[in-house]
Amino acid sequence: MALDDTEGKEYRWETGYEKTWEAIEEDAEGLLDTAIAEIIEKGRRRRLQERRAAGNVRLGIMRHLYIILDMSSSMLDQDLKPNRIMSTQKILEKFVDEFFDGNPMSQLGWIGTRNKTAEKIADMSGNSRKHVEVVKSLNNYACGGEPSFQNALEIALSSLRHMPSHTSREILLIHGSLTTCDPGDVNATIMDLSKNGVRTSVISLAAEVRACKAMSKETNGTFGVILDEGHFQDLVREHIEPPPMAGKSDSSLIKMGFPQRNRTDDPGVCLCHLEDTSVSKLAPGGYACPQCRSKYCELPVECKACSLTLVSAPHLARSFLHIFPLDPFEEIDAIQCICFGCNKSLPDKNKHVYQCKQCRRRFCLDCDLFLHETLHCCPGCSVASLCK
Amino acid sequence: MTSSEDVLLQMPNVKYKKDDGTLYVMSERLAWIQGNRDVVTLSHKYADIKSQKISPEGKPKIQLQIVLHDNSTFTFHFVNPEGQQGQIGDRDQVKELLIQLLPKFRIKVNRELEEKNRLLMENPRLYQLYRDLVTERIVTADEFWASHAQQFLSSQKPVTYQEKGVSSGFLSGIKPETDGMNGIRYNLSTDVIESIFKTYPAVRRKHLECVPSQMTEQEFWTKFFQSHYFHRDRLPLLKDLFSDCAKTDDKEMRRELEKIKVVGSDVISILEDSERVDMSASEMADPVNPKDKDKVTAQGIYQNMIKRFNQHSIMILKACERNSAKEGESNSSSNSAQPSNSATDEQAMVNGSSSKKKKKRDKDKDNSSTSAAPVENGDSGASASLVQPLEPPEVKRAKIADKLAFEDLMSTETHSYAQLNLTRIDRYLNGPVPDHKTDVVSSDELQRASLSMREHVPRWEGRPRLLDSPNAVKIVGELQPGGALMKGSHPDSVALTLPKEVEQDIRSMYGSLCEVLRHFWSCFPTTTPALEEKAKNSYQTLKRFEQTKITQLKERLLRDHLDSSKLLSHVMSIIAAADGKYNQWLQRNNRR
Repeated sequence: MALDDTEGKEYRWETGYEKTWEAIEEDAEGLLDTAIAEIIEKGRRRRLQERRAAGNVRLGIMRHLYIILDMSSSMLDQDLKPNRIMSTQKILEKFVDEFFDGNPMSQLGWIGTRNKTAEKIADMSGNSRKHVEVVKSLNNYACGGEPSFQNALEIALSSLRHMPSHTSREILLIHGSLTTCDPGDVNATIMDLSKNGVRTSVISLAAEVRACKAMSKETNGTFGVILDEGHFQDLVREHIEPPPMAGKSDSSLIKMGFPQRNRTDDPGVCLCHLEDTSVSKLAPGGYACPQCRSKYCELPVECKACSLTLVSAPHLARSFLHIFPLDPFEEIDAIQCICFGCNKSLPDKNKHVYQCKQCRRRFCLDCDLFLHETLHCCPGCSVASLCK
Repeated sequence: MTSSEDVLLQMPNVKYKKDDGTLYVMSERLAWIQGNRDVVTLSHKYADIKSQKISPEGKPKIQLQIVLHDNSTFTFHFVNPEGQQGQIGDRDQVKELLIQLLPKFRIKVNRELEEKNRLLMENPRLYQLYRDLVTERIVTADEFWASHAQQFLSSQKPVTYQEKGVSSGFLSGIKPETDGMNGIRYNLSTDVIESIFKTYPAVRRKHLECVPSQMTEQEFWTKFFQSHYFHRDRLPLLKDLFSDCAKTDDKEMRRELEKIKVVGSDVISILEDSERVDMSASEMADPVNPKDKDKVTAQGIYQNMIKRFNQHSIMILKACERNSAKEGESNSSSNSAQPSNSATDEQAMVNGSSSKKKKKRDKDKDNSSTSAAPVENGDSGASASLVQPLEPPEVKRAKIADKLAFEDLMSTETHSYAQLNLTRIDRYLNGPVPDHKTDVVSSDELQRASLSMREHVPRWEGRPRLLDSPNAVKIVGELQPGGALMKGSHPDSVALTLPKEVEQDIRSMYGSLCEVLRHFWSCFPTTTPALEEKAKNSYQTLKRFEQTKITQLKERLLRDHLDSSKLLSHVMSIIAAADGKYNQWLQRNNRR
């Protein structure tokens, strides 16, 4: 390998060569490295296309997602810097924020597994700040032993079983070990999961494990093995979009309250901070539940007194972005132009240029993905209506 | 006696209140029957009895007195015709029994109280609720523990005991260390011991037999490690404690292999064949008695080792199977992706090479031991089963088709998603149109307005028009915090300057109110009569709460010269909302 000769025979401990597989790069021909990146991005576009092509798909907007983290000794491996568990932590911090951005009415829960048992780190809740704290506190859990996925799945299942049927029940399993030490037959658990309509997706940090792949296939989830940190982030971000609803649940009417914020109301104590004596105080203003008139500081929240879901209109509107997505751009062959989104000169390494069907503006691949996944609107169309 | 309790002691010749009768000491209570009657005259549960007393020595009357928790006493007079000695003997018998039985029941009662106390100590919120609701007689204690404390009780319950699987490499954890004096130490943790017991039930049985009757734990484990059962080269010729364990293991192994035989690959004969081949090879060197299969030859050692590994893996799998025995038999496994040498052999043996397509699963109703296992070693998404020896042709065809199909090469299937049928999509994209008519402004007018604006702006001169001073002062006053135009930006001064205890009180009152309200609102909509009852009860509770707590707070605030109407107006509105709902519900109910 090239690296060997140039560095002059250094040893591994001198960090003379690390990630030697990255040296495999055939430039000018073959393009092995960039080919992989391209494959990943094409995969993303293809997924988007598939979803659009299926027409209006029933999505699970109110999601209950359990994240099961592997905390076994294999997570202390250093192939992701600084080690796997800390890298996972970083990525999940960002994920939590984006998750609640895109799914304001969902809830998240955390389970960890180590030493052949599993424990619930945090219960299901919709408070995004609390979840960021939970992710930061993952440092306090020492990794070790072997993971037990069956135990973790059982814990998640016992809680997801009771969720109402119009919500989507999901599990995301991030595992870095190649083994699992279970007290019983994991197939029974998998059957249970699919019977209860729990969509289990797996992101593997090491290799494809047959049991996990079968589980995700059986429950209509996704399965991915990461290539590097960037790919890990991509795979995790896939889960921000609401998944298609499994099963044929009848449409049910869900009662929701839309409180108005007022500042001049009489002072009252808010029910969201009742137990937090440092923050709780008698203050005017806030959101008053339309049914029982109890006060809350922030939305969305479930009223503690009358168990009514309180949301505001923008929260619902954000969920609509998933139901009425931006139309996919068409892929045209390379033309000399400038990307309307980022002013990059095209064509770049991707050889394809994407064009909006309505405003005929051209975008590069990165902008295309950004517009479709995050922004949900085309800047060309927004501008075009103004400058007529 | 109609009760089904055991009578532990029957004592005739016991007088109670000058009546002759018999005293019965039963498993849960003390009973006294008068004369020859059938009906029990007196009966007290041990849980109610606080203590017993006996008459002091030297007194002519031999008596036993029981004292209940509410301090009522019952005295029994022993009148054995044999004389005082007999009477003392009788009484002592009863006394001994009671001494043993009473503590058992006392502990139970205490434990519940202790539990409740502990909960109250640990949970300040629960304690607060208890204080507010029960001491003020708003909610009775029973009701409190039944309904309000439920959420705290359930969170206190420890996580249900999780079964731990057996790590396949646990034996490697038992690393012997030399302790300097020609001895070897084995460190055994409870985890390892449990794993050994789970995997080798024969050892567990031996453990139950021998410890602690015949030898101590230490001796048991020393023998275990010394025995050849544990040793690498197992020589069954040596007789020790564990030799029959080895035999049981062998038997189990053969049974497993028999099972495999049914599935399609006759492993036993293959094994025997290979052994015969080896024997013939080594026979060249040394004419060996075929019975001495386990003779320590070079070949023999390796074979033994592999046999041991395979046995070990089978035992581990069986340990897991025993746990999930109620889910039906399945001989597929959850496993690692890095099979070791022996593990691949073992997996090939246990899982067999047969498979069934998933849709066949439904048709196979007579084969009750079939279980559809999505995880199957080396096969693509099919299920394993114990199949009858004669297979119908469709099954065979399915098996062949399964072997031919490779998941990776098949075209990716498009999922069928549940369709979302939306009518009037534009209703989602635009908000509701208000009723009143707004001015309709055409786009031409808009254009003209913007153009005229663009013409005017350059003509503006720099000279501002000044206000006269009284107007200016008025406007500045209104714009200051607290003024007419700035309502709400300045926090209420009243709320800011509340003393800490008052605020604390108000906060705890809100907590209890929230709890009461939760029960009230959970009753609606009332679908069952039980819920209706609950609604009425919780409304009563709410009313009581209002009468006691709120008036208390009002008085307190008035004493401190604080504006109670402003501070409590929010609470009053909450209660008013609940009132309204209840009245509405009553009306609807009465109408029906």
